[in-house]
Amino acid sequence: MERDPAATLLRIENVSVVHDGKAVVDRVSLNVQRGQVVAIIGPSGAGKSSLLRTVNFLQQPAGGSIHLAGEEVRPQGRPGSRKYERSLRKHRRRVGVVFQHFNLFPHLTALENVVVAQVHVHGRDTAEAKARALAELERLNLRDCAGKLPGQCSGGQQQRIAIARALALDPEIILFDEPTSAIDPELSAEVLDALKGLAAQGITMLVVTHEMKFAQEVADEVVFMAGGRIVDGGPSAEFFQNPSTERARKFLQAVGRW
Amino acid sequence: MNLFAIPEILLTLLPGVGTALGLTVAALVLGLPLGLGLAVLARDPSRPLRVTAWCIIEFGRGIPGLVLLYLIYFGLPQVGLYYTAITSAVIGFTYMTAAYTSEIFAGGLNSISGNQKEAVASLGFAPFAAFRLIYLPQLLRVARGPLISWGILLLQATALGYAIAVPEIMSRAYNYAAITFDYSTTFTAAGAIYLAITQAVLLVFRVLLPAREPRRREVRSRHSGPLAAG
Ligand SMILES: Nc1ncnc2c1ncn2[C@@H]1O[C@H](COP(=O)(O)OP(=O)(O)OP(=O)(O)O)[C@@H](O)[C@H]1O
Ligand SMILES: [Mg+2]
Repeated sequence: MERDPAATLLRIENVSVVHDGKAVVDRVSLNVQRGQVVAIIGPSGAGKSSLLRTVNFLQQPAGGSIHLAGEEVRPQGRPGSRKYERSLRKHRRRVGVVFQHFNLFPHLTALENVVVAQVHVHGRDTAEAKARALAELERLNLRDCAGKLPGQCSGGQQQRIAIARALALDPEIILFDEPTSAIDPELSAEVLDALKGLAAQGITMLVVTHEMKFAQEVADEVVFMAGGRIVDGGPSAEFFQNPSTERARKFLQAVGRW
Repeated sequence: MNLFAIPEILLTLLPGVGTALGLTVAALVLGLPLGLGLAVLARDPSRPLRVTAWCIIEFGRGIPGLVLLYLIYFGLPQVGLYYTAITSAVIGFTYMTAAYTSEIFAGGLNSISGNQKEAVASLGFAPFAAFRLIYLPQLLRVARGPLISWGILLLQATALGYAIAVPEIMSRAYNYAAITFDYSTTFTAAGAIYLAITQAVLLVFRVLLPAREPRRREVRSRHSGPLAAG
């Protein structure tokens, strides 16, 4: 489905990732439109996480380019150097990330986790940041968690705190890497519901997931990766109805979705 | 043992307690930030900085404290640097503190997971803010126990001050015993004093550095507290 290119928020172009001399992501291109939810699915080792992490350069791409809102992101200096990290800061502030293992700050309460970057990265006033944090926690049904340390909250609550932390910074896009894989299955529904809510509010999301039901119901587009390449994909309804490749069909059969 | 001499011995030695505690506090106040700085430098991307930090640390840990004090008090004057006994002791104990605690801080830094660093990077933190708000509080939790142990070792190490005539407990004891020849009573009393102040200092550390988080405070205003602007 062609879309107005002006609406393209994230453009991943010909991106490769090399580990130990092997291209685990091999010249992959992918667009995400503003307001769209794109799900990346595929077997373990397909390169999904590696691809996702190139978007904000937690993974340095070996080739290709990343464009946000029409502008190419060009880090300066040697990867890992201070200059490199500094040159990426502005870009990273525009991209939210929700990790599989939450990566919350264990010494800060839920509220402080959501406040700290608002104040110390985005320069917001503390009172304003606190009000915003409380609103985000409220929206994610976490009012009772606000004063607790992450270690005192359940996995599902911790992941929603992490989502609140990302949301409070008004990112243009949020990246999710298997946001429910580290959570007890009975608690993952509350996180998936939260994601569904964000999608309904038009928040742009790129989501690596093993939750086929989520990909089918919430994602606008699905991308199927295998062996470091995108081998299938399209609008989610069509893709799950009728995957065009044998490889994708086998995968969906294996996970009981086709 | 001459029990009747004990009051007189205590009166003689007690002024040294202030000196010993003063030296300990001065060396900690000056040495801990230096130790933290050395730990950070020892993992800097720049190789010359790393090597410099490593040399400073290994020199400080490899040389016995007594030799270090002699070098500062008797050696430096030969190159034109004169320091009083007290100043020499402060310099020596500060250096020892920096060198030894840098290893403790390095262990704390190593304990911070890659996950934390990824969160910090993806949120766009500048290095100093990340260090102060995210890494330092986590590293202090790990380092707390070893740092307290170092504080106690340091307090006892101030007895080395007697070698350069710092009027602390040990040198007072030595002088007293040399006159009265009552070594057993004098040094027993000195030992008891160290034991008592060690326990007192441990108590102070436990209060100042509680093992568990103190009761959570509210997120405070922008210009104070753990979440204040850097
Ligand atoms: N840091 C690394 N060093 C070496 N190899 C790596 C590294 N990270 C990933 N790989 C390899 O790259 C390949 C792709 O990994 P990636 O984590 O991107 O896959 P994935 O699709 O996210 O898999 P999963 O569903 O298991 O999370 C795998 O073969 C993996 O072993
Ligand atoms: Mg993965």
